[in-house]
Amino acid sequence: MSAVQHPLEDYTRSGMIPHIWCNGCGNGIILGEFARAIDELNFDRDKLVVVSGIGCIGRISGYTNTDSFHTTHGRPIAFAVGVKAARPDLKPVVISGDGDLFAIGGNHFIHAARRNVDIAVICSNNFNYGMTGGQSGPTTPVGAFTTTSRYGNIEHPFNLVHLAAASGAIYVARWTAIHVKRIRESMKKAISKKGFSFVEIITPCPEEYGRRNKIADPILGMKWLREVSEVRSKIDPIDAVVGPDKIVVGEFVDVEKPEFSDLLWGQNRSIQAGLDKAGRRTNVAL
Amino acid sequence: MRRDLPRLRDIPSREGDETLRRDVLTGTYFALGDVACAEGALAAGCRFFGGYPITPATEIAEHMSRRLPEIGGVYLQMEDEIASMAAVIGASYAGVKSMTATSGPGFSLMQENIGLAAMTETPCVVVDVMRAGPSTGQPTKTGQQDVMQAKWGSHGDYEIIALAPSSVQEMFDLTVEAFNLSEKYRCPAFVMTDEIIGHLMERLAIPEPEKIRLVNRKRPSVPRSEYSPFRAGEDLVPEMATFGEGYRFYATGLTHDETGHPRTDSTEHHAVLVQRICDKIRKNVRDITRVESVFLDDADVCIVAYGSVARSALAAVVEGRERGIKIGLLRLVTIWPFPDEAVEQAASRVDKILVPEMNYGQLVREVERSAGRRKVTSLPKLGDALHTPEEILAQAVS
Amino acid sequence: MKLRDVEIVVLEDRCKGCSFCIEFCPRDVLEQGTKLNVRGVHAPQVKDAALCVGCGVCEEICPDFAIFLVEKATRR
Repeated sequence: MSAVQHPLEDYTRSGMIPHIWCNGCGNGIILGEFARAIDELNFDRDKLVVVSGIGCIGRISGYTNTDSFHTTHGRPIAFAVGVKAARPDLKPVVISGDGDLFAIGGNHFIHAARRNVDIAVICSNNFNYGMTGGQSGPTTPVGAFTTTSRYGNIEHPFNLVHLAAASGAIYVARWTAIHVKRIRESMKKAISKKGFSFVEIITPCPEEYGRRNKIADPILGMKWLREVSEVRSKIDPIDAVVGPDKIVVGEFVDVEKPEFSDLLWGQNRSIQAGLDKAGRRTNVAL
Repeated sequence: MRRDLPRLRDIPSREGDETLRRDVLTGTYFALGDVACAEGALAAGCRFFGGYPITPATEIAEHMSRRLPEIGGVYLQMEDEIASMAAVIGASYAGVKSMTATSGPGFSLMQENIGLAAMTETPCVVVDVMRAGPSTGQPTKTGQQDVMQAKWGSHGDYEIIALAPSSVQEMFDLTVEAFNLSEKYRCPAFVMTDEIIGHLMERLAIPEPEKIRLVNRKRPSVPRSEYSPFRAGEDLVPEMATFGEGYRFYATGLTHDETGHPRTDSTEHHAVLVQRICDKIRKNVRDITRVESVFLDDADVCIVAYGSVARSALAAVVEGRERGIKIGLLRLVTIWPFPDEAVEQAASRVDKILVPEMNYGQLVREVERSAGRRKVTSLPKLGDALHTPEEILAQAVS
Repeated sequence: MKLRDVEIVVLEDRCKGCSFCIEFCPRDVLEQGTKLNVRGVHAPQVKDAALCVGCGVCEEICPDFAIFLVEKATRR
């Protein structure tokens, strides 16, 4: 009908859209909002490094028209920490899933948050492992049905907002796929702030989680998110619960703290200055 | 006299020297193997170390943590070895020569990401100061039990380069060479040493910086719009862009095409990619590998050895020759890719090959493959003890 | 009262048929189209252009970059 391009076309890799995500999956919304966020911020795109792990959302690094890297399962944050420490001028943005970031990748998450490394972490939380066919994971709600919790999940899930806040993140927010503008604003903050920022986005997964838990229909999935979401920004992260009939969304932490690469390079500079002043070649002792 | 050599400590500046470099500490020292390795890395241009403490490699991390800040580099202690290897790959793609150092248990943890480094053709150096395994084993005792793991540790078909220092000097020299080879061939390169060499103190001569040959990865030679991150020419090694320069390239551990995009659907793409990342090493075995032969010209018996065992083997060969035994040594400086041609050639001239190793028979299998099982005898030794020259000689003549 | 005076553009072959745009449009501007696209689903079509206020929800809620708004001024 028209030769007019989608306004965000340049933010996606040429020829890679349509993406592989299912009909009704929230990951496409995350991709779109990410593009809008960097567009509105007028962020120097060549200073971004999009890093993702393994999972459906992990494919996002192949869609963003930025420097990007797709790591092994669970390791995008560790990779991003290496990038940031070596090149403090770059801003890594980790976009990955609930399993990748919090099951296999949990250890890297808490340490990067503890150190307040300047990376933005965006988590697409769809309550299961979608890519491998819908197994349970650390955010699967109690009682939910997945291919590996056939009788109903008995495990308590993480409260990711609480986990991120407790680990030391300076910005923590949770939204759902329906909260498009809020997602964008939180992404903008996460990208602009100097430090470890975390944005959890609860997304529908019609084909796997949805199908087994009576929200197979894409529209039903989105409507359910709208229905159970409650905006309660600034409450104690421990109370920002995700349950079968309530998802607390909002911004829960927004503070400033000395950032890891600043501290690292600051110390480096003072060490070198000290050696210069003392006229020494090195300060090594065996 | 060793007592006259300065230790690698508190190096004062020469007065009036404006251009003194801190990365290359030219001079002669009495140094620890692990420390020599670290200084070799710095001289090679390494400016990122991502690691985790583990006996007997900890001294490398500790030395790097002191020295890297002095020269504008980064020491990053990660939460585990898995994260260390991931961070090393990240830093390398961010344009910085990167390394890590570990021992057996950490080496095992790193394997998945070593595979990622191989698949994404990341230049990086991994030092394994081997100890007695398997599992936790004997953390403070030596061994050569990881040499097969260096080649086969990660899943899938891939090739790596591994060097085996036999002295503190080689800890310096071969670490420089490892960096050069990993940059040239865009693959992980390993320094496979052991606790004996790592914790040995010996003479170390650090040359002037101009005398140290350095190799850097090929940078893109085409404009950004024409760049394909995994397109290679005849040498099978693609040009490597760096994050932050506007190339907006994509690298993944998935099977990919030249543009970097996943091709998990295509058998042909998989074959082409796997063959290229292997062939870039396999077709350059002669350029990559180095061996050292001693008294082999007229030998009847050849000892094939590497690492600290080669020192005992050398002593055995010298002693043997003094007794009139026609014995020689083929020391493997490179253990991967395996120098099959050199071993085959040596095998063709001798009646017997003896392979002493501080493991239960690992690299001897490669020797057998090149020389034929009939000619080859394994001389394994387990437990924190180097083969004595007498043990080697006795087995060689029996 | 319009927020923006826009035309709705649908890239039909990108649509996967989730119908988010149709469902979440606050003015009920869109409906399911009649022809099948290359994926075998019905892409949306405009039911009543006059109702559109240019809020952009359809563009934002679409996960597939298949629908967007263009200012009428630029189209001329």
